[in-house]
Amino acid sequence: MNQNEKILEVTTYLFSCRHDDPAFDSDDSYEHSDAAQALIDEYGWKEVFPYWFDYLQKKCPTEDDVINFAHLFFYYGGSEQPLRDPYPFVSYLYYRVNTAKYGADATDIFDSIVIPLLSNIGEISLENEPDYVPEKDPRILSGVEAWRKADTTG
Amino acid sequence: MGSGSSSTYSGAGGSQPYANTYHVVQKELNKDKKDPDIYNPSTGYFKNPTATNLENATQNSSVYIDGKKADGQYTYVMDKNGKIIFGKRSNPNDSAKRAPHPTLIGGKDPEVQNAGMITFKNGKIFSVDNHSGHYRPNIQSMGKVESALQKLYERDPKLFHKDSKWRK
Repeated sequence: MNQNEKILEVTTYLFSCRHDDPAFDSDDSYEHSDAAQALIDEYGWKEVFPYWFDYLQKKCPTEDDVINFAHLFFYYGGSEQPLRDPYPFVSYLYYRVNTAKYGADATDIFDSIVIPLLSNIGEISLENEPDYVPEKDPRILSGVEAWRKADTTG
Repeated sequence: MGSGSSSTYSGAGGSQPYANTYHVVQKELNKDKKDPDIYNPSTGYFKNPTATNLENATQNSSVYIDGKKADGQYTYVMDKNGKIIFGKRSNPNDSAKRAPHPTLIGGKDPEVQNAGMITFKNGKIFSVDNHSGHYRPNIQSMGKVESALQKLYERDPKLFHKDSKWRK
């Protein structure tokens, strides 16, 4: 199995489960978490991230699937990894899920991903902007618009 | 008496001087008073309906909020009695806004010993910090939160994620 096949196989294993399944990494088991860490350790985040993002775009057809992906991405430490330009990724979350309609379940886990990713690159600071709302961030809004255009033209 | 009272701290950056308790910094209080989804002139800050006492939120070595395993980043405060109260950042009054730290206590002058963000992964405590623009607590106050979490760890280590500093 070559590198691409291996990353794809582990990515599918990591994201094809439900984060709220009581059996998921239960009773102090960290099977999935350990597999995610091992994958990143072996191939590097730069190689792994595109596969995770690709999974989100191709294998998460419903809003509920996207929210589940977000929980797993957070659990596997994706928001702690460096992303030089996180806007296309985070904008995609809001492009796919209308948080106003879906409510706190989406709002809170998306905030949990967006705030660390943007803080890591110095774009925001919760201490200086305690009321920061990603859905009002012009950079994210323009990213959502770009995804919308790509969808209608592509 | 706590520091950061409206007359002594503008909230113009940096943390407040160390104190037993902290008030909301003036700048944020002034802003919140103009927002009816956050502050009511007669009752003060609304009470975040998801505000949860961490100690009472555990079940089978996991932390729960709103009937589900805590998973993500949440606001927390340590109240005047030393209880860690955490809650969701989403604002139940308006989905386009967020619920700031003072709403975990509610009222006109919610005093806290510390405030920041607490992170859970699949119901396990992962990390804690003192990032709060509303209270800007002094880093020295983190010791109180660390001690409270250490006691919780001694009671049940499995409440903490294996990669959290408590289990390393």
